Amino acid sequence: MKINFLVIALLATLYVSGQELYVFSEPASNMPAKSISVKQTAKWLRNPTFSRTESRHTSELMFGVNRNLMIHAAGTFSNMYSQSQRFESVRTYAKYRFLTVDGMYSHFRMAAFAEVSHSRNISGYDELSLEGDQSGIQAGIIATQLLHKLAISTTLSLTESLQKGRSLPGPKAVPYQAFNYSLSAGYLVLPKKYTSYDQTNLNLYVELLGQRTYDKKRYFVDLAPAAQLIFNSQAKLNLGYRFQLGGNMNRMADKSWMLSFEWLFLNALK
Amino acid sequence: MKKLFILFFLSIGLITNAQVKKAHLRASGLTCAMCSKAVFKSLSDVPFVEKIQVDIQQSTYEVFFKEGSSISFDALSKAVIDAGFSVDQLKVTSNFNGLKVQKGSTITVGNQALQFINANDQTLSGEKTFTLIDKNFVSSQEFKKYKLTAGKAYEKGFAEGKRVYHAIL
Repeated sequence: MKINFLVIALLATLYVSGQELYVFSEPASNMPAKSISVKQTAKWLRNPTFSRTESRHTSELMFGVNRNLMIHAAGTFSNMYSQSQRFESVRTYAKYRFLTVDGMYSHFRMAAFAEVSHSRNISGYDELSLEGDQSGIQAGIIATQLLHKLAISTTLSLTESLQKGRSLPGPKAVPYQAFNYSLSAGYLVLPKKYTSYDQTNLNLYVELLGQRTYDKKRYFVDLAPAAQLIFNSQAKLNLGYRFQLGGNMNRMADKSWMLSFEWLFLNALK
Repeated sequence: MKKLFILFFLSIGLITNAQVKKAHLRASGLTCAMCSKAVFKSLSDVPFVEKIQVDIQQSTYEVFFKEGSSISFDALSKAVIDAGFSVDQLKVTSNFNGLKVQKGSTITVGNQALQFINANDQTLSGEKTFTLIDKNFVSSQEFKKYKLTAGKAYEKGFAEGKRVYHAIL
């Protein structure tokens, strides 16, 4: 009986529209050319070392330069490395879509991306992240398959932390090099049938996010379920929860909440 | 004299130009409404487009053109590609006034040169719909299929430096 239910649930997910507007990762597809997107993100976590809730606030601008290239620029504030909220980091990201195979209600796409961040933080944790924790560079590739009703995406990337101490002799206290991977899936729950752009959409996502540092060998694997509302086919509200499935890293926290709001301005750059 | 002039201009219209009424465009590579809206907005911003009726579920766009404006099929395709997707089908509806067409002959439709690859010495009268088969108007599989039979100007879409579209009736 239970198995029957699972099979039905699985089949049901295959027959709803696939979504690739992922909450924790980027798809290989880009935003439309000449568009601008504005995104505000808040992340909360419970820091067990200091027994307090800490947060990071990210403001991000995204540009669709042309059909294949998009650029992000972001700045972050947080109290994760300080007593109170303070300006913490800036970063920029570029993604180039180099393969597009479109079919009816399906596509396979691949993109390459690179990211640079500058952070004032000195992190003593093993986890490498350019979202504000460390200065660094990152590059990788993304492959996304939209298969009629299901969208699956994978990202492989390398991170190089440029935090102070990387060139000091002797054993390192923290890692500086990491391999990252993600596997994401998403589907549309509502509406059942599209009739207008004004309908509010509800999408559900689940993403597997992992990192393996390879100078000092540590790893983590997280699972991140998320829900997304889309209003007027223009604004996205995302709520996600991320928790560790396994790992041996010294991390700031192994679970966190994320809330973000994004507004897309189509054909804003002319 | 006046009548003669009118007749003269009318006959030019008959011979050289078929009036394009609308186009039925199907976009591929998308399912979501946000993606569909990106295509809709991109097509809406094409200067000669008057209005669009969209079927989000079917991923189709009924594009109506401004009367008397010069149109470009390539601009429609570019709008869809710039939005991040592809054109899977473009059906064009035009008014013809007894235009004789044969396979491989070039006619003018909405100021654009066009060849029918399957016309068989027929006369086109009234409202007729044809489907463009050029690159960026069909799927890559269909493009490969037509490449074998559609003539030498098909692959590049240019003949003697001029843009020539290919279509089937």
